[in-house]
Amino acid sequence: MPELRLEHIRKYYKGLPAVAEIDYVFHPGVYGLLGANGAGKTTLLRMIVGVLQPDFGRILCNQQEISHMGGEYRRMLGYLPQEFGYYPNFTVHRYLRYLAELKAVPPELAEERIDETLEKMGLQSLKRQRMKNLSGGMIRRVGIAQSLLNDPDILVLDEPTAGLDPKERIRFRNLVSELGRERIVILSSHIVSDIECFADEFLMMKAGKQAQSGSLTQICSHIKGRVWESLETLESARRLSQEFVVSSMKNMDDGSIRVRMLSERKPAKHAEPAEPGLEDAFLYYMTR
Amino acid sequence: MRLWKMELHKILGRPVLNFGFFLILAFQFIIFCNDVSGKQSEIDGNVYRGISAIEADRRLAEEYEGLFTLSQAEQIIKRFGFSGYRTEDGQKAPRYREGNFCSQWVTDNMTDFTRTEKKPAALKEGDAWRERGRQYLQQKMQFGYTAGWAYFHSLWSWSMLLLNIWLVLMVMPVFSEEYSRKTAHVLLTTVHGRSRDIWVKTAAAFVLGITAFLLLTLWLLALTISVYGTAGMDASAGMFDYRALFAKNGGMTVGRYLLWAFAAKFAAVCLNVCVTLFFSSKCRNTVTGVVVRVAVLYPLAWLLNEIVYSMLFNWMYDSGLIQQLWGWAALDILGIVCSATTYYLSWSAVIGVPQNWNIIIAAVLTLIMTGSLWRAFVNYRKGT
Repeated sequence: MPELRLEHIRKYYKGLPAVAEIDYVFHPGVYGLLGANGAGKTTLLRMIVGVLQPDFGRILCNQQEISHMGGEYRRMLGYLPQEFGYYPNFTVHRYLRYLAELKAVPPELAEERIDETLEKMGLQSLKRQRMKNLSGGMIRRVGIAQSLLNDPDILVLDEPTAGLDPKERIRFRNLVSELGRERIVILSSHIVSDIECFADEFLMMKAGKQAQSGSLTQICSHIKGRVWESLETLESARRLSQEFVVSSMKNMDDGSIRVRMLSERKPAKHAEPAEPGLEDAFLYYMTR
Repeated sequence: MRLWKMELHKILGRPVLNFGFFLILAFQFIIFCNDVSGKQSEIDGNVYRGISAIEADRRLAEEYEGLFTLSQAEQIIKRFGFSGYRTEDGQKAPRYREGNFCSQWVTDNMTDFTRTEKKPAALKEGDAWRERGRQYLQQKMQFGYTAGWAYFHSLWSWSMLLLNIWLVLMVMPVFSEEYSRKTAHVLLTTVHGRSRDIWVKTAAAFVLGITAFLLLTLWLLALTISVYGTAGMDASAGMFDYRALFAKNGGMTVGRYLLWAFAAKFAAVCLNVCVTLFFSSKCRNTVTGVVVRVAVLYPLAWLLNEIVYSMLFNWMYDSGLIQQLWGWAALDILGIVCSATTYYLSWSAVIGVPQNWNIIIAAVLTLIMTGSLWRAFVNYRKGT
């Protein structure tokens, strides 16, 4: 069972911290890395996969520093970058064959692994298609397929659901849940609902720092009593949205508006405490 | 092996650029055919044209083959006269060269006739004789039919200039395209992506460069041999490249000259591949990389040699600094650096350099090539 440990990780760009002091331990399971754009998620993931070196701190895989492990660490790794590049003239099969070769998948196993991953991603019919003829969502699926080719122990997926249609998102969720039983799966997203229902643990980042981490229950328990709902008129709803962090507004049949908001105290006369969700927690930590 | 094939496939997967190589071959063919069709030879009152002229010249040169003497030169002039340029009736520009290979060679290399149009009373007259003509005799030059090899080498050198630009276009994407397509993000996280694959990419670039060079050379060699034959291999290369008369302890045959030229041009290709790979690893954008690389490929070498070296030489000569150890050492270093560039290697410039420079040039080339490849490796590993 792999263990991935981040110790005091810091990374600076032109003197400004992109990632500042991250300490975290990953065990097998699905981890959701949440943060607004520019929070440092991609930088952190790039350091985890070894493309970037931390300026301070170290990353250990099974007690060994990953920078010393070289190919041995990369053999355990599957990575889908945020911007997934491909060769337009390659067919899907050729591209995966190329990656299988680079990932040191034994030649006798490569075809089997390619077929398996294509099947999992619903890409079998596109095997002989040139990549330049695929849609954005299809390309993303090829990207996920390549990350699975070597049956990795550590799977790092940066914004994996971007561009996937609802049906493909469901297929993807089921696949990741299955994969997360025996390996570390780290997913990043700035869309909470994308990973809320299948990640075991969450790591929230804000301005390069670890804002909060834990399971859905743990994270939500931290903000218990700070989420409120109330039925308001249009005018009072507008006033509340200026005064408090509003996570949703919904028009009701009777013309009123159900306002869900975050507040340390009761924000309105008719406001009732509500059960916090991940989106509320995300908003709470991002706006704090 | 599979990875190697895939990397080669990536380099070759650009039909438009591949076509460029065949354009170079076609260009060689057209230029070559044009030259052959324009050949004319006048021997004992008979006029031969095209391939017949080449055959007639070759047969004629056989009569004078071997150690070239003053008496042979005089015999040639006595038999065929001086070779000037004939103007067609009603036209101003000269079109045809009078005479044949033998009379043209003696006229061009031992007399001032083509410049002054004055027939000298004897061969031992004029600047050409003093500067060059007598050297052919003193250096014990072997005469032979070298017209084909002279043309072969000239066209070969010109084609090398085109080939090296084509190679820049083909090799530049090796690393830079991985950055610009964002594929490096994935490749650098794979088992072989940060180690073996970098060398495999490098090997694929070398295979492309060397194969293209060999194909181009063989194609041109086949054209030359099919028309000119193999005659003249034992003749002195000094017949068409004056530098060769004094190079490598004198007496350099055409065969040896071509082997040296082959080595120099081969080195030019290898150097170009190495330096282009270095630029490729530095540039995030392929087009920028190509522009920068082509800008330094020829102009920098030319400027260094033709402007900087000449100015430095003149300044040192005028100020007397050339007499000092550091003065000529500085000039030698600059000369060696210039000789070790793709541009001058393509022109086989190493043939004309002092013999003791060869080992230094080889060392400089090895240093530049290994340095470029190592830096390319390190740069690409750093990735994005």
